[in-house]
Amino acid sequence: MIRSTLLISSLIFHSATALFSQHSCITTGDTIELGEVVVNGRASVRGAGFMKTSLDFDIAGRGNSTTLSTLISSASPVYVRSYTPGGIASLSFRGTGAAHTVVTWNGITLNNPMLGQSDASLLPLIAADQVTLYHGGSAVGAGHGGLGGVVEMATEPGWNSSNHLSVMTEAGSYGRISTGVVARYGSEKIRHTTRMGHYRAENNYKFSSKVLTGDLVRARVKNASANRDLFMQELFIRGQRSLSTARVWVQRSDRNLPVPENISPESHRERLEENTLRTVASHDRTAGRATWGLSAALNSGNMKYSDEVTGIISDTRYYKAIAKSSLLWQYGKGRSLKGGVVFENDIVQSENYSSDRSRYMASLSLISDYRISDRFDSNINMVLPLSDGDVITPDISAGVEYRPVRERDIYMSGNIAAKSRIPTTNDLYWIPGGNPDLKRERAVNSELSVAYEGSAAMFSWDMGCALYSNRITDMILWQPVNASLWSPRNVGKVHSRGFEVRAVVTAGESGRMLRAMLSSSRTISGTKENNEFLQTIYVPRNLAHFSLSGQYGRFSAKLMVNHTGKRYTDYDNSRYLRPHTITDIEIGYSAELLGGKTNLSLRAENVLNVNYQNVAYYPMPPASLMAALRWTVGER
Amino acid sequence: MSSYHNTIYRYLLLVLIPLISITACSSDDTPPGSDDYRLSPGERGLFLMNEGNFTRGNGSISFFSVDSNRIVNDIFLAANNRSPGDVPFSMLVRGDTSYIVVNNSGKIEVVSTYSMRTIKSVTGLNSPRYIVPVDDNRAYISSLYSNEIMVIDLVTLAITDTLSIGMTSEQIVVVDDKAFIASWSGNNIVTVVDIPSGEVIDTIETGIEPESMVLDIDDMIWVLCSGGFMHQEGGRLLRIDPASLQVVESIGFAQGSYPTSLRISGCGKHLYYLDGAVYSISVREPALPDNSLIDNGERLFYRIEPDTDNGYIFVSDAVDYQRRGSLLRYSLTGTFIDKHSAGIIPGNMIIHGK
Repeated sequence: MIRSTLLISSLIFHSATALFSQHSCITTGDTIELGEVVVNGRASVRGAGFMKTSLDFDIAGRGNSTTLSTLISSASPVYVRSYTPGGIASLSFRGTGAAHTVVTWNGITLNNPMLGQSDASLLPLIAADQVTLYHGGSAVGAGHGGLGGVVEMATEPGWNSSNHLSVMTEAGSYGRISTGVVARYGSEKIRHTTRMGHYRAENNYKFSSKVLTGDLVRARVKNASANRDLFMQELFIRGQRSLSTARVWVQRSDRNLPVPENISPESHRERLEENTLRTVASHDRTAGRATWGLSAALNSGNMKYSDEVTGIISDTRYYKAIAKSSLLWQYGKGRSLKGGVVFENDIVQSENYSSDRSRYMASLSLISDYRISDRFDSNINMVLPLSDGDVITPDISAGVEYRPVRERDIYMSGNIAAKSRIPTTNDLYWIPGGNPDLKRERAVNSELSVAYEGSAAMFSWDMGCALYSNRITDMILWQPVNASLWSPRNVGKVHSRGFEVRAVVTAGESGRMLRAMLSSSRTISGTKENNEFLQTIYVPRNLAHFSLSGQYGRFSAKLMVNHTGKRYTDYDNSRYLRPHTITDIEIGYSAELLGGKTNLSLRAENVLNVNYQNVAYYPMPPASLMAALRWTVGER
Repeated sequence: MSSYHNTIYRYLLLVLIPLISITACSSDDTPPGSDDYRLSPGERGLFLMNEGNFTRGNGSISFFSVDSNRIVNDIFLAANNRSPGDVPFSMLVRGDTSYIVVNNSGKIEVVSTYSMRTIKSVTGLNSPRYIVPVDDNRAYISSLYSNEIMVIDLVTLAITDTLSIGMTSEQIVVVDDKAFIASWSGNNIVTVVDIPSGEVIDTIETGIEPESMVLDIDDMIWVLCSGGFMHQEGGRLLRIDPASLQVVESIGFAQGSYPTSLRISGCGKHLYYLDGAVYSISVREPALPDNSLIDNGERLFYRIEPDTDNGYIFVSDAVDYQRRGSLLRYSLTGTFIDKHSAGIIPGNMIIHGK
């Protein structure tokens, strides 16, 4: 049992890096499509009938040490299950599993095809200009396989900003050091963006524990250091009616994986190295009412896992090629049709497969936006996956949006969606136990939401709430066949329902501004067994984030409070992690220096020194400090 | 103030009030342990090691009382207000002191048998599996990962020596002054150690992965080989003469089999093992049986323990390795008697009181 669990856990632990999509979305992050609206800094993004949320980078901080994991756990209803700072962090959207949340970067799915999930701790925010959450049904048009939702990272050309250079450095408790550079330069027709970052953390903080011996002891986290280096280069060329882009993202990371506090530190010494290369090239051209686009992407990755004590070594490589084309036709105000086709090829080389595995996938998509009246919009998304030549039931979503008050931005929306997720390559080919006969997982999603945006005098606000239901069937679960063999089967069922509330209220303008943000969610997710409802493990019923930030002249201050509710750690809900509320405080000062703008900030994290865990027996850091210095020349 | 602003403020209040209510809720992170555990020296029953899920630290220890026909779960947690650790795997009971081997926590919890209160935690061990006394004061501790056997003084509870045997170790059987140590994980060897000198005096080749061993009425060692985690070959049951150190009997299982959990009756005449179902073999007329003694049906039998003095065979059902498992009790003829809810992945059982 232990050895089978070791193999399976090594499978889970050691493949947490990003890869290519199984089905990429048709849209591109820098698209020139007419009618596409990219909103940054606002809480929500309208899409007829569907809920999307644009996250504010300022809540988590813009330093190179900040990752998608940090941002999402500070400002969204998505739960982040992170082992330790810098450790593996998976996302749970609306009560679903990590494999049901898809993360994309400029249209490429980053979820690992072996595991189906992405590691949000390896996705620094320096690699994106905006992050958007596509809740529930909206995921059909945003990224295939997101039964719970999609997290989209995107970069922008910055045509409207002048050349600028931003240099940032950070230093904090338990050996955290980070540097980053972002440069945008070029002309009105050609723009370049260069991003570089280095991050290192020892993560050797102290914690109190009486788990191992019964005596309360102060111990220090060992073997938890993490390193990450990133380089990204982007090129944008625009013509009269065209846009061409090329992007390259190279990243290497290595980290030690600490053992939980109930395990002797001598019993394991795990290390995980992950190197990735992601490239995307695209060309979009507009002719009259039509816009067509072509893009191609190539991604490769290498993951090396080792445990000096057990002697387990794993070396995995993966490659993915994507080609896609799309055609958008706008035939009226608020009315458009978009069709697309995507071809993909996954190649995985793993010692745990009988041979190198390659699979081809293709999909057709059709998106229709139809404005019924000036207060009534509708949207239909359909993606027809074609796998190895077999036509499979399409993913489909339909949404409507109604504005009950003509002069107010109040939106009432509803949608329903049927979605699917293909098995991971581990589910299909892992030896022993992989099951090539697995079917897709299926989900039916429904949602009702209300949103209100507006401004009056010195105030502006953006708020909304959503009720949702999500039923997943044919869920793939690894189950024991006998005492030594596990195999995946389509046997799981999960029903998630709940609500999400979000409000952002801003008073004043730049220079004298006060902003409050509240995000709260309640999630009931699980199965009924013997007339007893069992909540899915590591899905908190309650999540809440509150932040209050203000700026007065050169000074700024921020208060962030994050509450995570009880999380069950056992299937029968007999054990759980108690709720915790973490408070961070940040103060900042800006000044002109060396021809640029300099911002110095000091953040006190977990100021109340709360002893908490996100995963059982992995203590999180106590109170700590982080200082950041940013120098920017030119406008952003 | 406009009516719109009033609406906004009311809306915010509606959001904040439930949020504050949610935040105020708090409770403990571990289930309440039972305080029903009071063991008397002669009480008949068995300790059940619920391994829990690897790295999740949700293992536990139960005691089933034959006399009162009830199971008490989480007895270590109740006594010590903490879980025993990650994967409590095996246990040695010596009178009023017991030694709980917690595999993935790398420690042995030395406890009072009758109260379950910890006397001392012996930590820093490398993946310990079994603790087996080799003389009055010393015991050997096997290891899943290390090529060394740790020697512990059972009185001072200090690690007094390490024996390098060149491979990992699992079960240990002691015959006179020799210790027979099975090297299970990926190996096919039983190593023979001379206890007085601590020297390896011989190795005996077995089938792949010798998983369990017992000593029969004729002082012969029976070794059950599972055939390998990847089912490299069929299982194999061997009889070893501890005097000559020769394999004197070898019985092969069919390819695809995965026999485990070899146990022996109190009289030493009947072997029991798992291969999906429960099977029994006579040591005097050894042959693979055509029929099982206890059919597993839809159940996932994980470990067995015959309590032939009291007329029972206990079987643990791991269900799906996620939910709480069960302790099943059968008669010696395989008739189902009763079922008791246990912890997650109920494994090894240690009989107490005859």
